Amino acid sequence: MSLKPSCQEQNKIIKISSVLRNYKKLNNQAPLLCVAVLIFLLGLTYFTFANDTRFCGDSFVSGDLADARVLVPFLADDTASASICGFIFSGLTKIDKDLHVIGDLAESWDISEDKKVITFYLKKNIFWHDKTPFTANDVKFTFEQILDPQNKSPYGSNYKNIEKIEIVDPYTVRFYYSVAYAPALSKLGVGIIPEHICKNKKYSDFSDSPVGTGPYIFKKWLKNQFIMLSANSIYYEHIPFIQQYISRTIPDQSVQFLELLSGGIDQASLTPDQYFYRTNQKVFRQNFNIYKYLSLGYTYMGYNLKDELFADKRVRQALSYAIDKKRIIQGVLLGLGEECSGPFSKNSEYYNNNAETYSYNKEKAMQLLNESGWHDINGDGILEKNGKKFRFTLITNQGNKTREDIAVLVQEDLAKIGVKVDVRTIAWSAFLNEFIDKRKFQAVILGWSIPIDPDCYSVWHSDNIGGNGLNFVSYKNEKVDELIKKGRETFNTDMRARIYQEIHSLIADDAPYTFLFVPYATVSISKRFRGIAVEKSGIYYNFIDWYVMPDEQKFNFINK
Amino acid sequence: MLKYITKRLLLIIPVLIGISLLSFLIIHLSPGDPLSLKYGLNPEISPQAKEYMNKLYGLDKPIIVQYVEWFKRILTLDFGTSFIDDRNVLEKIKERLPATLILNILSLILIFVIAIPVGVVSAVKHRTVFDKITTFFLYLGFSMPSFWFALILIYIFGFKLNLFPISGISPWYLEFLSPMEKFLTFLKHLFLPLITLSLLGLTGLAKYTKSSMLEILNQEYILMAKAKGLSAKRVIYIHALKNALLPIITIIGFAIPGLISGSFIIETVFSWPGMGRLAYEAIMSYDYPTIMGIGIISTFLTLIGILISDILYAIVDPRIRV
Repeated sequence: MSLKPSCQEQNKIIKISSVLRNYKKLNNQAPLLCVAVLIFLLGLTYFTFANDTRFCGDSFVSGDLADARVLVPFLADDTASASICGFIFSGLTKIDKDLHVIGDLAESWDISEDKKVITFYLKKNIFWHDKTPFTANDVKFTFEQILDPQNKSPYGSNYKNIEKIEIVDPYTVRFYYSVAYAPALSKLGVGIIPEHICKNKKYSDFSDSPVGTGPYIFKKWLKNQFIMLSANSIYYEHIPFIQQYISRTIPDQSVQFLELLSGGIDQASLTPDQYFYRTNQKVFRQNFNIYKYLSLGYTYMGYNLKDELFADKRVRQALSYAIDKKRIIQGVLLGLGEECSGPFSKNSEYYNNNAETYSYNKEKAMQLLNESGWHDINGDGILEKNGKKFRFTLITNQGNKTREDIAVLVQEDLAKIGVKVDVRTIAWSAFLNEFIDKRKFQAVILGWSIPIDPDCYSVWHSDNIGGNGLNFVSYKNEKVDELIKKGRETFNTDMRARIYQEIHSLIADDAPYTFLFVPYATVSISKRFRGIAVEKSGIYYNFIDWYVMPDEQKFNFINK
Repeated sequence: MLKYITKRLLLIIPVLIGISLLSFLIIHLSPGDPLSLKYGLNPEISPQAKEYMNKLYGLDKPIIVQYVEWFKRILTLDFGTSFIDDRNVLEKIKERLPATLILNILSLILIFVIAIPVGVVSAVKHRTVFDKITTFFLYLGFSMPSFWFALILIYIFGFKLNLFPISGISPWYLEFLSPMEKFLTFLKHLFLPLITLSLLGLTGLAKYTKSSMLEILNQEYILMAKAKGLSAKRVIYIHALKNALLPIITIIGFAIPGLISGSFIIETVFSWPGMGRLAYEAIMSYDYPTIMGIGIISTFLTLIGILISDILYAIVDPRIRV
């Protein structure tokens, strides 16, 4: 098997630029020009003859609050496991820096006329970490395993529309769907597992020594201490420059910060408080960069539409106008967030920038409430209609400080327009079982994570109002239902963008939620890591291209 | 004596059944369940999948049936598999036990070595400056929140002075170190958690020793010994101390189950991979098999600990023997 674009080749590119940088620096001092040229020439000769792997090297130590649970892609249901699985495994497709679906193990794919058959053409020079070739058999095996209920994969329902998986030849695999299902392309990006290992191994054992096709090879896992991965020299793109990836479990956020400052870890996420008040120290400024990007999730206040108080659209709109989102972002996130007006990622083409944003407008809120019959007749500061006061209970789950603080701010804002809000916080499981699942609530503060595919059937389609469905606010709009169905069947990105933008503006207009904000992810990373750039999908999309200059490498003793 | 021990050992069985049944019921009846916690409000997971998993884990059966099934498995020492990661519960406990044991055994030794002399001396020198200073520090230690104390230690000795590692039990690059370096880093990692646990743990025992010693020193037989003309040393260290230490045996008995039940707070602050966090995580995610596994083992050790202290009592104190 051939070593793909190697570390050496990649290093040359970086090396030239570093030599040039040195040259420029010296050039500022005119008398030293000759020396500069000399050094440049020396550098060139060195570069021509040197055949080392200097830019490969060093280790990246990440500090994480929780340890991974299972290192099997289709069983991983927590962030820590999913992120480690992302390094070890690759799927048929993956998400690029602009949040688009591109091929990973698949070179390309065809979609049949009726959109029910997807044929994947696999890359041919891909090997498992144990050097066994990767083929279509592994793909078929993986999805059969996910669909087998015995394996307890929580994601089975993502693939329940698959009728048949056919291996056309070792590098072509065909999925037959019972209906056209556009989210399939991103859902089929789940990590593929090796058939030759997994067919006679329990998944709890496989999880302790996972083998994948991804950029990093699993090395060691001391539970609740650290997971160690090392660069895969036969990764199909190129060998990752950083030789080791270590995830250390440090459950306390303040200890994590001290570890960061003292060099025990190279990466930690920052709380808004740390971001503003702890990063001004000189030590921090000299050694760390901070990266800030929109996270894939949003926080909202949802109204139970079955409650007659919120049945009138104008009332919900009024409440949305009356809640000062800017103040909430400032108050609970210290400004580290952005307002949003719909359920899609602000970085994607599905987000409609023209949708109603309900920027703070007390007068308009008052006017809408008056229109719908709410007036403060007896002058006690609370609105009435037909002798009933405008008063409701706002619930959220206990232990989430951000949401508890939002509730207090909302209470204050709504008091200003004569709406009395009682706030209750309830422990998570009781909150779900007794209030959300039974639909026994009036208003709720919660958050959703935003999936890569815009399909929002489970949360917004009226099919999911009943049972324990996730449309617990009981939102029903026939136009939206129809568009959601249509969006699921449309593969063309431009057409989908139009559909979801329309859904966005319809939902925004109906205001079943008051969309509050999308928080920023704030991560600090040691300055010695270069090649990091913030894109729509964050910073980790090009981890294999991150590198450390030779003179800055810290953990080189390992490669000796 | 042998008959007594056998009787006591047999008595453990019904107590164990009773306690396990009670805790099984309490855990299962507390509001919430593992699956809604794990998969609740996740758009990727359908309600049907949740129901199916409920069945697969046997959570749809009546609680008593579940208990009987669980008990049958326990008899063959099968503790079941964790709901969180599908791994064997006993495996998970075994993985965490060494870290907790080493920390607890060392700190227990340290506590006894420091607390008993401190208690004795401050009782003998009752109401002197020494007594007042130690009392002050004992109360300080007693009332200090452990997480705060731990963070302060980390900040000063780990971060500012850079003498000890900030967190963890071993560095990830352990395998690249020589055996000597391995041992040294391990000691360094052990130091701060050990100090925290010991300094905060010894206050109770020291105060206990002091009051028990004070009580003995006021007894008439001590007066008698003094009147007989024995040296002060002999009176204090032979006659008084022997009797004062009797209640300590009870504490030793209770310390045995404590050895395996780590401290969640200390373990979290120091990123120590011990039993405390395992138990906490299990409880927070309604991981019934793991909770019950840890519960049954510590119940068993508690009962054994009580038995051992009873037997020791009988051996050292002739008044108790029947």
